[in-house]
Amino acid sequence: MRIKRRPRPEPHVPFISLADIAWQLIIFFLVTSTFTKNESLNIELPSGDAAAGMEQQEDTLTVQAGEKTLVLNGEPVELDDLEARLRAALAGRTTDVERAVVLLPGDDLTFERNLFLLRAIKQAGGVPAIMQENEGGGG
Amino acid sequence: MKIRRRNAHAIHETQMVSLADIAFLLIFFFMLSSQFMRDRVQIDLPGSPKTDRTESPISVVLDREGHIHLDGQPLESADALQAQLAIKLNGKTTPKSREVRLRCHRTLTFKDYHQTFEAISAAGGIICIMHDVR
Repeated sequence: MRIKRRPRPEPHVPFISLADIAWQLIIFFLVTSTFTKNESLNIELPSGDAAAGMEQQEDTLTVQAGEKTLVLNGEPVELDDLEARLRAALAGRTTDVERAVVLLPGDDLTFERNLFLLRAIKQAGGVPAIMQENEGGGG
Repeated sequence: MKIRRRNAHAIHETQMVSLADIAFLLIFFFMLSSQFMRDRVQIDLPGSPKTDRTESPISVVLDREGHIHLDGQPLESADALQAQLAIKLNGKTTPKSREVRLRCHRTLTFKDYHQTFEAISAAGGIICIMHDVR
């Protein structure tokens, strides 16, 4: 008796489940990805001789800052007004030494408030230099 | 003449092959663009309007307790930070190449972070204070 051969099944790639796996991977990446934040305030603080030179200038602007207090050249000032006051005081000054603004932070000055101050100085066109009140050294 | 009708019952198949292709393209995009976390320390950054940007690969983190980390590795002191940064920044002259990311917890006070500022400056770095945009 002649035995009939069964036809060989055609090879079949299960594309539907492949796509399902792929989409699951995409959803995983979407949910777990955190995009890098690159927003910053870039400051180059003078150190050594440059800082000492700034401090020795008679007309260098000085900002004394605590967490609750803010004094510009001996006069109390509000944080919101600092940028405008500095801009006015820096008008006509061209060199980095002339445009130096010495920041004297108190020990209680938080990083966030320091960021506001540095931003105000930079936006006003000043060159920030941070010094410690008790040291008076480079910063 | 008798015109033969096309098979009206043609099966409408979804193009699963191209769908999978698109899906895998998206996966490759995410895999290549993902930057796996270098800074595992959770930091509450200060908020500020947009000012500058940085693409610097060098990252200094000051956590809630004021501990210093350089590129994910904890350091003993600000002096160690200055020494390691000086090596990393050696020979770099352009301002872009001297940028150093500083991620600092927003409520730390000056006595906690001033040594880090000094260390970065003394090593020749430009401090890029990372912040949230508000």
